[in-house]
Amino acid sequence: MGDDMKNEATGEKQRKVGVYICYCGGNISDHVYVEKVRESVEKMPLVSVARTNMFMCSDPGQEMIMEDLKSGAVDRVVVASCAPSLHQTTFRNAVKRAGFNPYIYEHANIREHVSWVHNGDSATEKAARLVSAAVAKANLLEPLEPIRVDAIAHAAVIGGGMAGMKAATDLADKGVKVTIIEKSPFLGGNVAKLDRLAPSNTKAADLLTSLATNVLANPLITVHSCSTVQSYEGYVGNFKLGIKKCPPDTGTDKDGCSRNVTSGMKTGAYIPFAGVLPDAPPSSEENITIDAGVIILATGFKPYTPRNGEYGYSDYPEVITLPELIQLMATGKNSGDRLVVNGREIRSMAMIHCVGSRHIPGIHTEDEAGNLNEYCSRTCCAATLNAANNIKEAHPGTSIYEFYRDIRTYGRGQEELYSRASKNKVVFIRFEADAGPEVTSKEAPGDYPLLVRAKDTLTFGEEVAVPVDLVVLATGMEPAAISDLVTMMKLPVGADRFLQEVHPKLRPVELPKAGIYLAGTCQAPMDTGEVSNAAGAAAAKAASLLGKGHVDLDPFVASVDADKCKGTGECVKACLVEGALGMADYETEDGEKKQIARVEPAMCTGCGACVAVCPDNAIDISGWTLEQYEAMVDWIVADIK
Amino acid sequence: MLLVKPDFAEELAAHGSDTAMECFNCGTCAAICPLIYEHFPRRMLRYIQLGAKEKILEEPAELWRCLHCGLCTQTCPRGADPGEVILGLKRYVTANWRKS
Amino acid sequence: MYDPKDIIDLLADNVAKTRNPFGISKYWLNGWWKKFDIPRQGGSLLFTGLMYQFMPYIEKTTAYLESYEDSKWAGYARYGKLVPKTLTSLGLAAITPLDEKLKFTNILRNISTILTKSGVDFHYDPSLDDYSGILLYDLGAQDEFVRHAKYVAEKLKAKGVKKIITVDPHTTYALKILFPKYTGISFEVKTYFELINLHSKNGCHQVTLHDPCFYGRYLELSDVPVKALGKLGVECVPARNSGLYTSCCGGPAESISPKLSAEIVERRVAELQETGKQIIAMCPICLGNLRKAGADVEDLSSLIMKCME
Repeated sequence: MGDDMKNEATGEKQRKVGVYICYCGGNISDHVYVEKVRESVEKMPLVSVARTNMFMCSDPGQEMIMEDLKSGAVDRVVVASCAPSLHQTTFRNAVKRAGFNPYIYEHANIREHVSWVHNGDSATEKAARLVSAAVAKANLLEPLEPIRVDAIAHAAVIGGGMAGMKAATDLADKGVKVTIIEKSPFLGGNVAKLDRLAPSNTKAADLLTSLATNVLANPLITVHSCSTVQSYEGYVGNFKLGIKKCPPDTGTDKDGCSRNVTSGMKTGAYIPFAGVLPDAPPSSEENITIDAGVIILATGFKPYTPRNGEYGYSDYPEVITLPELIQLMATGKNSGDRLVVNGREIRSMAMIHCVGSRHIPGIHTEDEAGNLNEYCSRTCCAATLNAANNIKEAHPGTSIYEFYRDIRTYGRGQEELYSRASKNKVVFIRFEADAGPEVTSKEAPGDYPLLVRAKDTLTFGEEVAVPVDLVVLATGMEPAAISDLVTMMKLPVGADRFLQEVHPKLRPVELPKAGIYLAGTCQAPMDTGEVSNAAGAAAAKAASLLGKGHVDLDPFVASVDADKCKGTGECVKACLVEGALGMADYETEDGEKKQIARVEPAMCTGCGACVAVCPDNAIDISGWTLEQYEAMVDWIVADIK
Repeated sequence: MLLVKPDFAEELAAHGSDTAMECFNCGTCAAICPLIYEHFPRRMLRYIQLGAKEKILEEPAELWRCLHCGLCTQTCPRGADPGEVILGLKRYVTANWRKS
Repeated sequence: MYDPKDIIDLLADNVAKTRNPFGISKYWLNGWWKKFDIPRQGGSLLFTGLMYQFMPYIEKTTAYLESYEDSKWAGYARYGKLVPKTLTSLGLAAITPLDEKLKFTNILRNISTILTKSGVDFHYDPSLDDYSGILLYDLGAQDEFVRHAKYVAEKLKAKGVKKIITVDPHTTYALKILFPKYTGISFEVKTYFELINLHSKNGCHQVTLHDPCFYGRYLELSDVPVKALGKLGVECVPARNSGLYTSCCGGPAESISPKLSAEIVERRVAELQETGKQIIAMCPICLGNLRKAGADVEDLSSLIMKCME
C-alpha cells in the first residue's frame, strides 16, 4: 500500500529493513546462538531494527513487527524462523494488517535449514549468512499486486464413481454448477462391482443408488456418460475441456460395463454389478466443449488382475479373485451349511492377501511395463475379512484359511472385523514376502482339487499345507489407465503411478496447478469412506475458490521489460508451460513497432527458464529478480564475523 | 510338512476346550508361563488351530508340565484361555489313552 | 519327568478304590479332630477336603520320586503296584514321622479355634469330610474326577448340607466352581478366612502373603486375608507378583516332575524374600513346597493364632 509514499514523505532512498529472529521455543535457539545472529545482522547498514522473540509467530511477536511498521521504524521485513511453508503467510498477513504491501516481506529458514541439521558455531554462522542474504533481498523488494483472474462458476468432474458423484453433489449443494464426465455408460465406478462394503457391511447398491439419485435429481448437475476428455487448455478459473461422447462398444468392452447395456434399460435404476444408467447411451458420436473454473479428477483405480499362473490363477478354475468371489456369492446365493461356488460345495478355502500389492524389488517380478506395486492397497485386508465373516456366519461348515503377510485393519471398525474373524474360527497363516504360498493340484489329499502350502511364521517356520476347494486372491488396486489425461494435463504422478498431491499433509487434495483437485482413488488406494472424505475436501476447496468469482494468484511471474526486449523469442522456446509466453506486437513511445515477448500471468509458474535464456536481460521474475539473487549471493559469501 | 485338518478343533471341543481359535499368536502366554519352555503354551494352541493332531501327540507327556497356574489365561489379550485349553488337551489325551 | 499316564492311572485307581489318591485309609489320615473340642452340630459344615492331612505323605512321596527322577528306576513308576506298595497305604503311613503329621494337625485345629472365636456357627463331621478329587481334574482325568465328585457331592446333599467352610484353595475351587459345573450340585462355599471376625492390636508387624493361584486368580480372594489381618494389626507387604498375577509355587508339578517343581519354587521364594518379611502361605501345597525350598513360611492360621495370644 503506502510504503512508497511514506518513503517519499521522509525523503529516504535507503530501505529500512527490520529483522525478526525467532527462538522457536528452543527448536532454533538450542543450536543457534540467536542473540549472536541478531548482533551480526544489526551491524548491516541496511538493517534499522533487529529483534528476537521466543515465538515470533505468537501474537506478541506479530504485534512487534506491526508496531515497527506503523511507527515508520521499518519498511521492509525479514523474519528468520521455520520453513516458509509454515509461517510465511502468517507474517505476510501481519504486514498487510499493518497497512503495508505483503510482498515487502522476506523469509529466512533457520530451523529446517540450520538448527535441525547443524550444531555448534557453524550453525550460528550459517544462520547469520542466511539472514543477511534475506536482508539484502528485502532491501530490493518492491510492492507487488496479486494476479486476479475471473473464475467461471462451473466445475468439471472427471469420473462418475463414488468420488465423482460425491464431489459433484457437494459442489451442487453449495450452488455450483457441475458437469460429470464419465467414460462408461454407468455411474458407480468400481464400487458398483462390489456387494457389501467393509467395515460396516453397507450395501454398495444402497450407497450408489442414494448418490446417483441425488446426482440425477439435481438440476445443477449435468452428466455426460460414454464420454472422454479429448482436449484440455486454460488455467485456473478458465479451463476448457473438449469432450467426445461415443455410443458404447457393447461387443468388446473388457470391463463389462458396456456389455451390461441392453436396449430399453431403465435409467436411474441400480443395475447390480454395473451401476446406475444416467441416460440412454448416445447413438451417434458427439463433441462437446465444457468451460469450467475448476476441474476435479475422480478417475478412480483399476483392480489388479493376477498374472497368468500367479497363485495358480488361470491355471486352475478354483482360483479366483476376491471381486470375482463377491460377484459369484451375490448372484448365486445359497443357505446351506457350506458355501457353494460355481455349483461346488466348499469344505475349505484359502484366501491369500497382498496379491498385487506390497511388491518388493528383487523378490517380486515386474509387469511387462517394468512396474512393481510397492504400496499397500489398504482396502483388501478389511474386504477379505469382511467376506470371510459373511461366509462363516452364513456357512459355518466352510473352513477358511487366510494366508497373510500382515493384517492391516487400520481404520475405525476394521480391527473388529479381525476379532470377529477369529471368533468365527478363521485360521490365519502368516508367510514372509520371499516365501509366498504355493498353490498346487499335486499332493492334494482325497478329492480336494488344490493344496496351498506355505512356511508359516506363526508355526515356527514349519511348512503347513491346507487342502482346499477354493482359493481366493485378495487383489489390490492399480492406477487407472489415464496416461492420456496425464500427458494432456501434465499431471504429476508419484513413484507409485497414482496422481500426486502437492503435500500429503498440508495440501492433500491439491495439485501444483491451481484449480485442479484430486478426489478418491486416482490419488492412492482408499476405501469408500476415505473416498468421500477426499471428494468432500476437493469439493470444498473448489467451491471456496469459485465462491469469490475470481482468483488471486501469487505475483511471482515473469514480466517483460518492453524497452530491453528485442523479440528474439528465446524465452518462448524455453518456456515449459504452453500458453504462458508468446510474442505480441508492441509500439514504443517513439512509434516504433516491434514484436516483444508477452506473459500470460495466470499461466506462468514463475520457474525462471525464460530469464536464464534471454540474451538481453529483458525478462525477470517479479519478487525473485536477478538483481535480488545477486544481492543474496553477495551476502552469503561476504566476510562476516 | 504339516497337513491341516479342519475338524480337530471340534473334536477337542468335546473335551471342554473351544477357545483356541481365538488366539492371535501374540505369544504373551509363552512369555509369562513359568515353564519357560519352547513356545509353551502357544505352540499347542497353534497346533489346535491347524488341526495338527500328530504334533500334539508327538510328546503328549509334555502337557503335564503345565501347572494350571492360570497366568496365561489371566494375561491373554484375546480370551483364548490357554490354561483351560491345555487342560482340555490333557483330557483329550487321557481319554485317548483310555480308549487304546 | 515321570510318564503322566502312569501317575494318572495310579492316582485314579487309588481314588476309585479308596476315595483318596494315596490309598491311605481315612482312619489313619484324618485324626486331627480326635481329642479336640469341636462342635459336632451347627450351621455350616467345616470341610477340609483332606488336603492338609495329605501333606506329610505328599512330601514323603515327592522325596521318593525326586530321588529316582530321570534314573533308570523311573520307569518302575509304571509298575504302579510295585512302587506304591511303599509309597501308599499303610507303608507310606508307617514311614511318615509322627511330628510331621502333627504339624498339619495343628493347622486344622487352629482354623477350628479361629472360627469358634469369630463366633461362626459351624460343625465338623469326619464322615462327610472327603477328598474333593481336584488332583484328578488338574491332571485331565476328567471322567474319574466327575465320578468321584458326584459321589462326594451327592453324599453331602443327602445329608442336607447347604453351607460349607473350606480351608484350602484347591478344595474351595473344586466345591465352589467345579462341583456345580460337573455334578449339578451347588453349595454355599466360603473359605475360613472370609468368616474371620477378630480384632487385636497384638499383631503389630509386617508379613508378606504368598497368594496361591486359585485364591489370587481363579477365585479372586486375595484382598480378604489382607483385610482380616489388618484388623489384627498385621500389615501385608505385597510380593513382586501377587493377587491376579501371583506366581505359582510349582507345587502342582510335584507328582510329574519334582525337578521342574523345584526350579519354579526357587524363583518364587526369591520373589517373596525380596520384601524381607515373614512369608505366609494359605495353601498346604504352597506351604510344603515353599518350605522344601528353604523358605521360612508360616500358615495363615498360625499367624492369626499368634495375633490373638
